[in-house]
Amino acid sequence: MFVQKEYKFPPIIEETLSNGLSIMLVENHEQQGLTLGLQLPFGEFCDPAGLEGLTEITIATLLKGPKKYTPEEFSERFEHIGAALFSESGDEHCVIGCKMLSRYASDVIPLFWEMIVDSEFRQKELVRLKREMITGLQAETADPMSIANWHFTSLICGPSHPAGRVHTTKSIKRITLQHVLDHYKSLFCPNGCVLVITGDFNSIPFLETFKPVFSSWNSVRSKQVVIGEPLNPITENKIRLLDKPDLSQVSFILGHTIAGELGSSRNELALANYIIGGGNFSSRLMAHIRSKEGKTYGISSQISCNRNFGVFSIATSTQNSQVESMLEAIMTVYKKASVEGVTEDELAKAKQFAIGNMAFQLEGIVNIADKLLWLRQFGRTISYIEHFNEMISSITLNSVNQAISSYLSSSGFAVIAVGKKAEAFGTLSKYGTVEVMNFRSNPF
Amino acid sequence: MTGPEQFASSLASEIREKTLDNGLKIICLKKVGAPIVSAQVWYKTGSAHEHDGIRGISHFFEHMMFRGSKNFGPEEHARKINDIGGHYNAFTAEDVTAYLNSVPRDYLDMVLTLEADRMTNLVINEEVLNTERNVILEEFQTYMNNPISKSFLEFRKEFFVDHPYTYSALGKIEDIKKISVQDCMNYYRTWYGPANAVLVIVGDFDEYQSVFDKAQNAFGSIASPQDSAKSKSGSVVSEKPFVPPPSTWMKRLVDFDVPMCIVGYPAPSASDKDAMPLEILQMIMSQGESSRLHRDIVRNKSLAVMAGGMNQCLRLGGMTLFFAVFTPNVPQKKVEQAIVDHVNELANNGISQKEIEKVKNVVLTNRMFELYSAEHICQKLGYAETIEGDYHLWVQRLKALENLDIETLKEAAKRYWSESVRHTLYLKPKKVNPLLYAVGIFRKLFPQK
Repeated sequence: MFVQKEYKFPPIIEETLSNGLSIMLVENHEQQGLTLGLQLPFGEFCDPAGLEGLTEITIATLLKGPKKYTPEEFSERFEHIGAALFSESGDEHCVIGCKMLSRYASDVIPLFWEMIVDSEFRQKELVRLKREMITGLQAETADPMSIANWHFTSLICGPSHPAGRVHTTKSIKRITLQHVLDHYKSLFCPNGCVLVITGDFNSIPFLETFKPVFSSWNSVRSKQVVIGEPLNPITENKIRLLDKPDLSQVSFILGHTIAGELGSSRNELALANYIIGGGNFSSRLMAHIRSKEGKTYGISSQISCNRNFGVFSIATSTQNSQVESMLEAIMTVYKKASVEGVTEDELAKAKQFAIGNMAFQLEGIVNIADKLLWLRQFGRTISYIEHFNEMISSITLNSVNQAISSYLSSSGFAVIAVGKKAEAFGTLSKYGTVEVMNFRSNPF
Repeated sequence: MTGPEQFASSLASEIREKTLDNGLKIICLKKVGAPIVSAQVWYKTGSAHEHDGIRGISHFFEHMMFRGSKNFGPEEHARKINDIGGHYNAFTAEDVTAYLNSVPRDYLDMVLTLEADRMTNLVINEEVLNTERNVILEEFQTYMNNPISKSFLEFRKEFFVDHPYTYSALGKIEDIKKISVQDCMNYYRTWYGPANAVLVIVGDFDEYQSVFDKAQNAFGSIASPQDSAKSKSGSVVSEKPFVPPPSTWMKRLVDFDVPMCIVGYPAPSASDKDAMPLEILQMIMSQGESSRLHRDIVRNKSLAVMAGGMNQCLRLGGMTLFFAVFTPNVPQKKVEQAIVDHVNELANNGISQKEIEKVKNVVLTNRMFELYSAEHICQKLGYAETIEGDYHLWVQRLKALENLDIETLKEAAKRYWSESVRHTLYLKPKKVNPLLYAVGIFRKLFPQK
């Protein structure tokens, strides 16, 4: 029996400044690096309808630097000392950060902060970034699975839900500098933000040095932060076929809504997902469809969650001639799990994976910072990590099968298929009405 | 610590090596931090070791290595690692096939046992072979359904003409359809012996000696097959250096909306003294917002939406590529010429001291962040040993970086980035929005000040 010790998180120095910014410092002297991540308590769900992409492009424009420098001077200052900026726009949270050699912290951190507090949003940069984003969207049509992903959340959530409104070339074209400025002014404020810094430094003098810098951000949020509301279950299949006549395979994503990250069965569902399709060669989907039948290069399921709602999905691809047998095989595996649940042995292995894998999620300063931000995103403390083994171990077969029965027994699926219409349409029609669109079409 | 040289010295002193009697080389580095250990087996065989009739067998074989050995059933290797929360992967390249495992620290024995069993006791039968063949054909189709990947395979054939690198690890579909159990067993016996492999172990273990003992226990009794690579050395793979063919220009019509221009030049083998200077030059040209291509082609001239580059040095030679993605209203010739102008400028006039300093800092930062991951370190050591020829180069390159001068870089650029060996690939969208052409004409008539 595999036994993994509970993980003891390194000491964290935590302080909330008077401007509402929460700072977490974690020393790690393994190497001489330092990473800094600022998590903003809002994400792309705050993009107004018709202006999807506004949060992402606001951050991209912000990264071009503060008023004091031209964008060229700004990037030169970072890159000359090997520092690198990064950003990520999520649905309900965003992160802006940078990594550097710790000896350059006193050069980089004030510069980074000046960018956050006093960024210059330039028209020329916005035009260029819009062009980059649009080209990026167009380039994704080279990859059938990217096309499927782009359409999937839109189909499953619908345009009335913020998750269903994805970036399109039209929405990006509509964004003006005024939109960007207003978005920044009304949302980018310190209250509710979390700044995590991990790496090679001494916390006390570090905090003394940089507290005045971090306290210099004093704006107040005037816009309501949007959180995704729960979605109604899908009761009948919604099928969309993106026609791309040159393809010899059909790529699929199919799935349905489930409980959110804060739902009571989140860990049970994660274990169930591992068994059904998340566990690679240990999963039922991989065992039946790839290892036994050789129908695909890869098949997997995943659960992606926001606070109040989540999506369970299965993704794969197969040759045009095998579409029917592939869909049948997927449905057989899914229904068997829905009706019969999982076994004690499968659950024991899924738990072992979850417990053992935690060490990898905490390897190195970047992973530690990510994990801390993830905890704060959902209002959790480090005791979640420190008692993770105990929490997972205590989950019973009954509770997992109960969660499967409640959330993974959907009568309806959202299905996106990207392939040649002439070969896929007939089979897909057996599962319901098929909406056919050109692969270049916007999702909504 | 102040610079790459000091950093490299301290790191070099921590790496240990041992070669078992059967020829298996073990490279070890203790790394504290997360309680995990990575163990990778790098076999010195890949698509360059194939011939017509079995093109793709290295990659096919990589799949077969997960389909069971004498003491472990199909996919049991993968499942056993999953069961303890670890992860595994494998890849096939031109010169190597590598098997990667990362597990909680107490499970190193288990991984070594699994790897040793498939090094010597692999089970291959017709049924499993045919199932996996279908999987590989699916993978092949997935790759070919991406127009960029497909075009690049064609480009590579023109670049590495009549050379072991002509075909990628994907091989040829007609060969994959015919590969037999016997072909696989012949390949296995030739290339998968301990004398043709390197075991790299990095992570949180107690003592170096205990790791060497564990490796001895797991692999020590494996004998190199009689018809192994060693006895065939020189007869199977052409060792002649890569001689770049004359300049080519290739256009492909593709079913997506974004034109792309790729300009490629030959690169030396990974062990050549020019490999690092070319890597540095490529970074100056194309890495980051302060790189030359981004500054000029993307920002100043607005010819491209994005621009970048990569350097791929393999065992027998390689390629340096620069690319630009642009909008259909920009003439391709202009984009191509802009890239070439920058290449020539670099070869003729060299680079500034400031640019060298920047690249040194970027390389050092990248290296520092790689060191947080046991798996990354394993990969770098495995690459240096099997492709560059000596794992010490991983750290020695950092020392060399300290002394790199402008003249060395300029000479390297002149040697490799010549017009006579320039190869261009233009990906042109089949359909474009006619409005974009109208915008292009408008801009020509009324240029923006």
